[in-house]
Amino acid sequence: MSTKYIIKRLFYLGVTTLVVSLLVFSITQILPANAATMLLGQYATPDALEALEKKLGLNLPAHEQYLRWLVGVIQGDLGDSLRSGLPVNETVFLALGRSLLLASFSILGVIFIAVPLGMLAAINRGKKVDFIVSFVSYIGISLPEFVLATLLLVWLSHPEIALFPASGYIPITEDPILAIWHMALPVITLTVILTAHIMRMVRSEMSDTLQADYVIAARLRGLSERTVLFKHALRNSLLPTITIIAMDVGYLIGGIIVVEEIFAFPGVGRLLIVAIQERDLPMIQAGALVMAFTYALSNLAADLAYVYLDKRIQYE
Amino acid sequence: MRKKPPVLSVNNYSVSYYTANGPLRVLDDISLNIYPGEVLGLVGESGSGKSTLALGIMRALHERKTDESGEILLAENSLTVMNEEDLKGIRGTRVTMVFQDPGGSLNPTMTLGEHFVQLLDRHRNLDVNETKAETQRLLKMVELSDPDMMVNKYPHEVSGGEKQRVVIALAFACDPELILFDEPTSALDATTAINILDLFRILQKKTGVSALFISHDLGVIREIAHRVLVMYAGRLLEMGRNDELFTTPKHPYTRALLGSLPKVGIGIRNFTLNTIPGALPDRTITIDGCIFANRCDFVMPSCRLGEFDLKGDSIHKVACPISTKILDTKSVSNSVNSVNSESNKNFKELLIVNSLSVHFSRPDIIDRILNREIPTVHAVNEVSLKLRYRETLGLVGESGCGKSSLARALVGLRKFKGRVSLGDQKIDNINQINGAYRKRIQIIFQNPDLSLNPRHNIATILSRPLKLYQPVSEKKLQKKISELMNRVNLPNRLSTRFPYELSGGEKQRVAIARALAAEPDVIICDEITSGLDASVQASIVNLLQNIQRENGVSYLFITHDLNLLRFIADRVAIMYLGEIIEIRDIDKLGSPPYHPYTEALLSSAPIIDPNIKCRKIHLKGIIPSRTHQIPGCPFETRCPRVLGELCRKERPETQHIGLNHQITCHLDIKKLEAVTPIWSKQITDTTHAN
Amino acid sequence: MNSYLKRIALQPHGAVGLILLLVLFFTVTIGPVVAPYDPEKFHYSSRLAAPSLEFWFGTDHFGRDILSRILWGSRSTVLLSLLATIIGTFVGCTVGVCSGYIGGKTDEIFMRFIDALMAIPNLLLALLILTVLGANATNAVLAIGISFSPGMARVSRSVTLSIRSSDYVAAAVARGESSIWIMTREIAPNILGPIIVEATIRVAFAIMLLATLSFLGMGSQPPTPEWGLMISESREFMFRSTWTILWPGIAIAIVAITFNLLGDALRDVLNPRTD
Repeated sequence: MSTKYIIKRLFYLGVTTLVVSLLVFSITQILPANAATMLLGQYATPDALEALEKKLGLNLPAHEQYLRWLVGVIQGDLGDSLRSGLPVNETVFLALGRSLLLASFSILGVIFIAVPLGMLAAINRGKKVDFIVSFVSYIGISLPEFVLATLLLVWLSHPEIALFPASGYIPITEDPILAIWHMALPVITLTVILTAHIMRMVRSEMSDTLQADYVIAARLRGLSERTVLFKHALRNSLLPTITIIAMDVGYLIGGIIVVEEIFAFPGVGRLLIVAIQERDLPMIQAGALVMAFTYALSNLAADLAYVYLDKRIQYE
Repeated sequence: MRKKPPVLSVNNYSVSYYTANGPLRVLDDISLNIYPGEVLGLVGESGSGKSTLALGIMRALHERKTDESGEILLAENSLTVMNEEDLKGIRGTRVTMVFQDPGGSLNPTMTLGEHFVQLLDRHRNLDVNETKAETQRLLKMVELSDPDMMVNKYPHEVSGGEKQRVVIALAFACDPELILFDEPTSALDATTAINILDLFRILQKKTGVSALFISHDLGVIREIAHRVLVMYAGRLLEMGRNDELFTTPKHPYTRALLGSLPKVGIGIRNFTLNTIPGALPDRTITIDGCIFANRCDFVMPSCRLGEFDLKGDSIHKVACPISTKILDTKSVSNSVNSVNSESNKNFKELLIVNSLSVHFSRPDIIDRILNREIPTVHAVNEVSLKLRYRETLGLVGESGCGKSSLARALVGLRKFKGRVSLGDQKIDNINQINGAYRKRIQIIFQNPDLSLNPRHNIATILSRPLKLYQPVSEKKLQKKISELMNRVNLPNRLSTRFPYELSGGEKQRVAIARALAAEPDVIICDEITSGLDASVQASIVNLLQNIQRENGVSYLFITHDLNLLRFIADRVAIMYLGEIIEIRDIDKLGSPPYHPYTEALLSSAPIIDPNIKCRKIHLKGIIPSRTHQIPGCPFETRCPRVLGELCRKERPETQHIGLNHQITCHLDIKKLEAVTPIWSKQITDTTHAN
Repeated sequence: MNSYLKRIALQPHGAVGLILLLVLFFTVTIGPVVAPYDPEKFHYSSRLAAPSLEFWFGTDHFGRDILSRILWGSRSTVLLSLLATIIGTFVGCTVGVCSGYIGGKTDEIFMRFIDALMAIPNLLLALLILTVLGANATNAVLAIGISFSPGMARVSRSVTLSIRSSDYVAAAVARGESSIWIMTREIAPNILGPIIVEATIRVAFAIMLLATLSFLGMGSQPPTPEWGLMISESREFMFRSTWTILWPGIAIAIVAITFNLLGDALRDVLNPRTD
């Protein structure tokens, strides 16, 4: 794969992140309530306010504030939380780690459930299996995460049933089984919804591929159905599926925010919600930036994987 | 050959598709036999059902959507009653198929070698080494150079001709009894197609395989088939040995079909082509009597009743009881509707193109930053030509030669360098093109499905140029639209219709009318007949000639069909890799001197007339990439008459011979004049070299 | 138009989608009128009641009739979502079509900007915007509309690009038609199809996003009977009465399914796959 292409994509990633940081920063800077006022309360004296503003650098013009922040970010310093006073770094990255754990389990679940089911539906197009898969996926894509999460809570965490805990977090290093048990419901919620989306995509891609000329030609060469399905159809359908999985990281991020809130899971999504409620600017900026960057990174990874696997583009 | 039992036996085979409007009868009681070692050609226009027959033989028609009856036997085994398991064993081994689009049959994410591995694995149980060896043997058999390299290549890395060879190799891999070809050369360039046909002929002789060769191109069928079947709207109308059928066709349809084709060998600039009036019948309705009756010149009341089967002897059968009555001694030639037109050699020059170049480049941000050389495609390279008043200049070349880019540059769709003079107007770059220029030079595109806005009805489409160039009142506008439609023989009731409701020929007429609306001096026709059936093509060409006679328009007629050009062009310019290598008069097309590429191109035009023999030239070599400036002659890599270093290093000069002839070549004109002519008359009616 | 409706109705998901759409239509228009109770009326004696003849869907923690709340809430949910989608489509398409048509450097710059916007997932962007503007239903509509714009811009741009390279546009350019004509009369009518398909599916997203925002407290505010809000308010009591969660959840799902089905049916109708 040409280095030129990689460099180009990395360059775009950089530009995108920069623009995102600008957006995030400018959005949060328009907040009506001044950070200093929030910290000191509404009865603070003007002098005290001024002093704090100077300390926080809030009296500098907007673009200077942005640059200061940006320089800090590049050096790894995302500022201090307005609430706790502690550096945002640790909190955010710790939370990110936990969210990634959640995300990884969900994606694994998706790969092992959605892809085979989608394939099955495409191969048996028009038959019962296809109908069931389609039916289930329609419901899956029409249910917001919070509805499913809440319903699961009601059905599975009901005090009388108590199959799974309603919330809580145990670090996976402490007690893996207990940790997974606590993560079960959030992961199930995310997996179900993501599966619905990806199942549909796989079905649609595979359907298209199965009607392609080269598949028909392969059949007419007398190749076994298994060869046709796996070596021809599936292989070519997986390529676009990779892109779709990357795009679904976007759904995942949105879903994680909601799911972590409902299950009180201390990931970066919950961090963000809390930060928004408390108007903790640096935390909001850091959280949003980190999430957006993760998304952009996953898209980049998918692009590179796609190019690596699709020989046609590689040739270009 | 007749004593051995047939390899393929189709008995009373019929197919109907279930559609929203009821069952559509695609094939009607088809019976045919193919004998060992025989190539049976199946000729039919689009919509005749020939592809359905091929898929039916392979048992690949969609179960739920088709209704089949009749029997198909492969040697003694009945394919129609076989189950899927057994059929899988037969496909790829005893019967194989070659499709039209070579790229389509190959999986784009698989190497060519892998295709062989899968096939050989499945059917022949060879180990790894044996498979490798066998793959190499097969690739060599289809004359692919560098089989070791080929094995690791992907389909998009090789040319169309090479892909088709691979597909043919796959078809021969398991020593089949029968190969089905469905338009295998239609998507290829003429010079490539002829190589593929020759390859198949050699292989067929060597292996003795039988084949069903389907094509709409009568010339190709003539080249390759031993016997020929003519199909129309799902029924067989005539069957005969190759020479028999082409020398003395018996069915009115066959005769009309042959009559609508432009022929080689005679200067026939002012003849009109015969056309077949009417259109294909609606096959959702059962049709009594002869299926061709509605379009037949010789129809009689008895033609509309009863069944019409193929009748005759083993050499020639026809499904027309009155064929003997209508067979006159007049051979199948084009009608003598010659119209006197003055020689236009003395007309003034209208359009002068001087050193026109079109380059495509896609600069990257990275390239710009690093200041690197930007990959540029030199689509058109310093082309000069002249077009006179009332003249048709043909522009010929194979795919990728730059003719479309040239056309688009001339109408202001592409940036160019160089100069274009239209009458008094001089244009040096695209920004100088104004309304006055645009009005005088119009373009018609190849595919009317794509060149007519699907959301505009015909009246809207035609009103636009009228409004732009000759604004008139509403009432007058309607009248003008009506006149335009009459001019191109379109009924007025179509003005409220949308493009998808019209046939291919009708759509193209709309496109012609649209160009005419501006009352231009020049009309550029970019492959406008390429997607059309022979008879529709003929009517379009006749129309264009008519318009030229009455309105005095000049045409720049782009096509890859040399035979067609003879009917419409006065002079022809031949393009290769973005350069014009020869310009000459049409009426002397058959006589040397020729540019070596012209020679090869002419030899690839299929000959139908049994009285004409053609010298064959095969081009070998690779076409150079167009991203680099070629220092010498672009044709050097494939030229059979190449002189060596000179051709590679130095640009050839343009040599002028006589008034209207120029050749751009290093070879001496005297040497080129001494070359034997491409076409010669055959004295005896020898059978085609089978 | 009629032929399209017929073709949609012939597809299985189209038929179901149309029926549901009809039901939705009636719910939104006459629903509130036929609602048995005032959605804000408290019935202290029957709080968190299960469905009964008196209260078909049961009651919430204040004793409010769930059915009536759902019927009244349908208006805000559906209409606000439609509005948000229309905003997003309009803004997005204008940017996308112009960018695609003009091409060149302008197009590249716009696309980088759009890419950056799309790097922020919808929910996140909406949350950020609402943090700035303040949390209420109107702002939620705006936030959703803005977060949809980049996606619509991308889709409309890619459709524009493919049409722009077609021969009939080339013919128009060769004729010397003005850019405005080409954009409005040649390109626009042909991009309508894919855009409508995309927009229809977006309505489903808008509904879910609006409900999610309300659930998080960033959208509609109490006492609006918005479905997402209803679920969030009932969270405390979810173990005592599932119905307070179930009915709004089902309602959201049904409306979203309606537009998903319609969108898919439209897509199939506009791009017939050959058999």
